[in-house]
Amino acid sequence: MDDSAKRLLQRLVRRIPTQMLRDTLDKWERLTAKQRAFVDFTQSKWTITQELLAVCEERELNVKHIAELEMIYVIGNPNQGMWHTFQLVDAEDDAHSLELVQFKEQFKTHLSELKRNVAVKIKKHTDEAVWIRIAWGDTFSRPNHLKATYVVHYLQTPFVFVSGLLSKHKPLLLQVLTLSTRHQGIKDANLSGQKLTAIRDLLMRQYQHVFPTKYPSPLAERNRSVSNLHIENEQAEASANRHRMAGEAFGNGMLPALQSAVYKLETKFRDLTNETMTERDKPLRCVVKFSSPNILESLRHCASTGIASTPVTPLLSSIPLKGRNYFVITDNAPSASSQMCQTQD
Amino acid sequence: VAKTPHGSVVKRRSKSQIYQQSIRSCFSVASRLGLTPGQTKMRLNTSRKAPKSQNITDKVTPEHLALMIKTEWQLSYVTPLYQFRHTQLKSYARQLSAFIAAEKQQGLAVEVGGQQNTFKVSFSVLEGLAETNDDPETVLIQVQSKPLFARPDDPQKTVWSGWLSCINSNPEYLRSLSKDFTCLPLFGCKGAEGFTSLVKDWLQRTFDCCFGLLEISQTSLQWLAALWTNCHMESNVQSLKMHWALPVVPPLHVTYTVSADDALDLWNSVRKNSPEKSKRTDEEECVDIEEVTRFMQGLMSHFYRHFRVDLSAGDLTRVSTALGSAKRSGRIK
Repeated sequence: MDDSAKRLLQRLVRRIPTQMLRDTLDKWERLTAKQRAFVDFTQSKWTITQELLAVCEERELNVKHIAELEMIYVIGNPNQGMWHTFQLVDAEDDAHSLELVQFKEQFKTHLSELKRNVAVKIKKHTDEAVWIRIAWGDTFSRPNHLKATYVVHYLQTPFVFVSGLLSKHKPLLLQVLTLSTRHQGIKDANLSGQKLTAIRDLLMRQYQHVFPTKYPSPLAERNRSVSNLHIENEQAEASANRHRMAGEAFGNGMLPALQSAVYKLETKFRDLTNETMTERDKPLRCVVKFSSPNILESLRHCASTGIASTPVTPLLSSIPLKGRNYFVITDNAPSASSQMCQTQD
Repeated sequence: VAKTPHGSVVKRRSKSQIYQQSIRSCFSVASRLGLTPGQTKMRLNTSRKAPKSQNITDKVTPEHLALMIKTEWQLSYVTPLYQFRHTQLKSYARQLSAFIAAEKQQGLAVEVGGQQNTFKVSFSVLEGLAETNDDPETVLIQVQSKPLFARPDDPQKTVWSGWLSCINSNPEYLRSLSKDFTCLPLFGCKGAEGFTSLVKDWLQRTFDCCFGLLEISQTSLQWLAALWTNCHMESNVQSLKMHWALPVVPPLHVTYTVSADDALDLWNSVRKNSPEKSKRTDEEECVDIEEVTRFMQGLMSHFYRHFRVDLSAGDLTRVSTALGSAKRSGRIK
């Protein structure tokens, strides 16, 4: 095994938790059962590395095989690193009938035409996703397998998810993607996050967006005085309304675990109690970031408890509606101004 | 509550002086709160003096300044120390060294760099931070380590530092203490938790004092937001960043970063229109808590206008600018 293969293997053993390493090696199917049994997973990672290096040498495996191992691991554990979403635009006539074989051929051809020394692996996953792993090199150097880019694309949809892409490779990759999917352009979808499954679900609307017809009402107490009854009825109705509107804005049931949303605001300050500031011509520049283990659930809870006033502002409901989590809001944008009108009472 | 124009946030011209300014504003706030929590309610001021010029680099050495700034300290309050003498520092260093060594022998986990290290403790006076004549001088404690088999010219590494300080304390309170007591109510430290508990333990045993975790209240954080924004007139604080935590499931964190120029405009507009303005004379620039509240309300209303989310339903947990950062948990930089 050459150096790059050894280094990649060492890196993988360090990075992958032991139990998962075992499972990944099983799925890899490059080692015999006997060889897999030879590796003692109860030992230290260093020992495991040495043993794996030995069996891989026996099988005369090279860096391409180790890259395959990494790919299996990433496909099985996609919620790491940072994924960015792109959207293909202006489909050509034959885009919709594009098949996997065609796409694979086209992608590899276009990429090799535009860049030398690039190692590409394409795999179709069970859920219709096409996974692509790219190790970049150039005229003077071999592909760097330690810093591979991963691309996930669902054929028949315009969405592409990318992770581990350096800015110098970005234009090239986007061009190749556009060509091989038979589209005319590609743009930033302004949706990024650590959990691929969450951003994918958000876009594909695969999560439940049901509208239940019944809402739980507050528990009935035993000895209620008349005044309490009135208050409770009032509160129950208000609470039910909030819950309904929260569900309408964000969805009901399980929500995809999007972890952050960023808003860049450049809008004027408007507050009747502060005339000086309201008269200022310049916008107030600020950046707001929402973060939580699941911001959609947090925001829904804000709406149902009244921390966020209902109806929910389009700024927030745009996250699930438009499937994006990065927004630039100015006073001039037509959508922004209609939002401003709504929030100004 | 009487208005006591107290904390002088000192005005600076150069960047290092600006850091000094932010330290003072932080320490003043914290130091006052350190005077036993029970009394803080009565002592919280409703107004503070705005910056005034003073030449601080004459008072604090550059080395000391470099030690204090750009590093995050965990704050605690300390009750007055019994029979603490600034003249006995060398002896204290020896005693603390011996204490640490003894505790290590007993097997207390102070695993910084392994078993082989020797630890050297030093106590020194950090001159210049004290504001009034009544303030005792700040005391700096450092624990340095050297591997057992190191060469003589290998540099010592500071593995733990802490300081005891008193800035702008209430002179009445100081005078009410008996002569045997030294009031250094603010303790800051950074480094391994093992050392922190050892040092606190030794101080408690030797000077019969008590330590308590100092949390920085919402109000104090709001003061810092306003005062640091005010500093933008003298030096570029770049941006005002606030962290809020909203009590939903799962907890939602909001980071609200405002450009410093715009924050300053808002601050100035609040001060310009404030009814408290008439109470100010030209010589004594006072900042009133009403102005701070209105400043925060302006920021929150701008947020509400866009997101229809009421930030006051949550907690302000952290405030930071280029001058420094302060966290609810009592961490300050």
